Amino acid sequence: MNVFRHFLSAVQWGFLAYFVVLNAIYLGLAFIAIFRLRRYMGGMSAAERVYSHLQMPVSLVVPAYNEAQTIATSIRALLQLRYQHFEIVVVNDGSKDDTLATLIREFEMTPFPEAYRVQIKTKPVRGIYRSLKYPNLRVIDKENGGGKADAANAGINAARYPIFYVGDADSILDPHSLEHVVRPFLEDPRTVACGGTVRIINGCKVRGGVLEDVGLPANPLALVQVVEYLRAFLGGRLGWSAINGMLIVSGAFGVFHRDTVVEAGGFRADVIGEDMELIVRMHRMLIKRGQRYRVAFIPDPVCWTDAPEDFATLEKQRKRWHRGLGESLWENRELCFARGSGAAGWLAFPFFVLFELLSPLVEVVGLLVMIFAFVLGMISGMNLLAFVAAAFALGLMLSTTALLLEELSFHTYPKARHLLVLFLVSILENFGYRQIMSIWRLQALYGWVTGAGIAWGDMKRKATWQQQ
Amino acid sequence: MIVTLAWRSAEVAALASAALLLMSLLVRRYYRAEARRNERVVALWRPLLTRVALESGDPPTLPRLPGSNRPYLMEEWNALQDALRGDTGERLNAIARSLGFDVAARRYLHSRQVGRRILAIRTLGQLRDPSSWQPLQEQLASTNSLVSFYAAAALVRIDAQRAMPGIMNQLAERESWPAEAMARLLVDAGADVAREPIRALMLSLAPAKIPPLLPWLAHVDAVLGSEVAIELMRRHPNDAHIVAAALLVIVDPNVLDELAQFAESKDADVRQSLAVAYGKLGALRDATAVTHLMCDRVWWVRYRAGQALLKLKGMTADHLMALRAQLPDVYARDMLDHVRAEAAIP
Repeated sequence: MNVFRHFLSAVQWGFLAYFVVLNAIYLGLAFIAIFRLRRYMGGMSAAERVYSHLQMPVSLVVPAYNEAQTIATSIRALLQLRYQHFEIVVVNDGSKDDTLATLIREFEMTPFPEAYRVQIKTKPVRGIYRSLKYPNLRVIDKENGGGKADAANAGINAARYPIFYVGDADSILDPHSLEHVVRPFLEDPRTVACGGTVRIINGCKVRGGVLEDVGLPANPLALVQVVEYLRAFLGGRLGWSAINGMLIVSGAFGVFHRDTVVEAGGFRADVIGEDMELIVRMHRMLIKRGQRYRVAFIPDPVCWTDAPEDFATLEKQRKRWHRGLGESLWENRELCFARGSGAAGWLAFPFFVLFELLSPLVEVVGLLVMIFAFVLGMISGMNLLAFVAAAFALGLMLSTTALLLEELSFHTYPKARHLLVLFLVSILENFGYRQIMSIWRLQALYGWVTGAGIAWGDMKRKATWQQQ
Repeated sequence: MIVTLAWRSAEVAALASAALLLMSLLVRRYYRAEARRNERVVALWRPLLTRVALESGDPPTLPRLPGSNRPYLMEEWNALQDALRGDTGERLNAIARSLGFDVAARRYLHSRQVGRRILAIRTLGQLRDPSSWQPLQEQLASTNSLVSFYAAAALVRIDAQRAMPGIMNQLAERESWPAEAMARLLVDAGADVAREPIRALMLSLAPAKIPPLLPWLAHVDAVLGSEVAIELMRRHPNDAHIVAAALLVIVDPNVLDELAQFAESKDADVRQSLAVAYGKLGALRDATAVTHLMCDRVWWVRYRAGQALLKLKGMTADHLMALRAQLPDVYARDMLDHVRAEAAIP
């Protein structure tokens, strides 16, 4: 019994220390983000004046699979971007529906004898089309296989410009997003990738693929994700980018230096989190070579994405993300504590292993041990409550910091009521939602470690904005 | 003890959360109030400033301007100054002085807010007050590249000739200045003032600094750009970055034979730029040189060479078909088909 008491004491200390350290790091990142934001916002209009006439050409790579219903709206929205010099490369990944026919019909696509260059190997390309209506629109029709990564690689092969964007067809871009996102590339030519803040589109009003009014979703699951996204993007990523330790550029919105990506071998089709894996691999490649580089992040809300509104879809998404995280870190483990790897190898990588990858293990096991000890009468109800309260309150503090960052920067949500609702959601998410997330992530971790396959199925998104 | 610690952590975190929420609400309130105040200032002053700018004669009676509203009006005034040209600027400057903008701007130069400092620098530049020279020179040396850029622009407005040496020094040393914007600013200073300093600058810059500046120079003054490019290309024939940039801005067909030496460059950017130069300046007699580039191993060189082939002066469809038949390389033939199809799209 004594042994178990010692074990229990160790678990209690470990549990508390883990949460305190985790939240302290996140708070540290949030503080870095506050200073970064103040500087960014202070010079923003001045920078816009200087850079407004400098527009680097950008290729927009849009992988599409079975998106006949929505592809025309998505492409029309992209064509409306306020930017002078960009091309759109839609990659039809062997869709079984009428995606290609829709594109041909809606945009007057015609077969084109393009001298297509294969710099990254992909599944065979069946044909290339060019729009008679929009000279900057092309479609690459390729055989299915290799998922979004393979389709994106085919698009990169066809991309003409030095930097390219790749995102999801079910997201919409802010009309000024390209103006914002090219700025890090203009300011610092060492920039190899840049991410931006992704927001939840559920609850917003969209017309013709363009965001008109910002609002909060009515669906509680989507509402919690609004807080999650704020926490992840404004607190975490902005902080990591300030010290060049950003290991993730969101799959929904990422802009990359084409030649560097080609050199790195493009997106890997054999991993699940291809977006994160590519960034970690680029860090590893560039550090190994001793090249100075920067992975940037801009806090501007550049992309709005559709959040899952049912548990089944959310579960798939989160398991996929967590497994992708594990794969990305494992496949590039050489980066961890590598000589000259700076913040990426010495801070971000170990942090992601300890506090992101393994966090569900600590959270679930810690909670189970405490409950077990409580049931056995080894700790009192008040003791259990103290630990749960500490974990909840620390989490709440992080969420509220993200809300403050939002107010200090873009105050996207127009009404004070929105802020209060988000604060309430930050409290409520502790009762069930976070625990469910931890369990799903733990299952994904277990599945990845044991090599068990996951049947992903199709991601069910409502994407109501597409029909508006 | 550990339980106490857990409770304390929870208490501290909960209190901090409440404080952060309160702060968020206050920040929101503050920004809202600021936005409303800005709207009020603009609504009151924009018609007055526009009238002053557009109508000569006695200035209208100005309303009282509380100090807290001054930055908003300064921003509006700067925007109007940027939009207008001619002697309207002088009338607006007189108004600004009567409102104490010069004194306030010098005070704002010491602000910790970058935006406020830049506003002050822009204002002093618009006012063209020689007494602001020294403080603006200090801002020119700022570690913040935007602040120093705006200081350079302000100095150019006050006295372009006098500003040049300091700006040239900064331009040669700074990596963080937006080079293209700077080149444009120098040319905006006036061709007479800037032409020689720019030429001298371009020829004295460290080689790494030259390539991004050349396209902008050419964009604003094509002949000057071409002259400088030819000289730089002759000075640095082995610097691929300079040669590649120079080839793109040369507009003198007389040097085309001299450029042919770069067809064997190891750098693909140089070969690609050469193809572009052929397209811009070449004629039928250059077709052999261009078809040679069409067999290049790099896609972009082939693509640009293909485009160049179509643009050669005197090129006809029959010539193209004959050239296609002679092309030894399947990739070159594919590329020719590609560029012809592309050119056929209306």
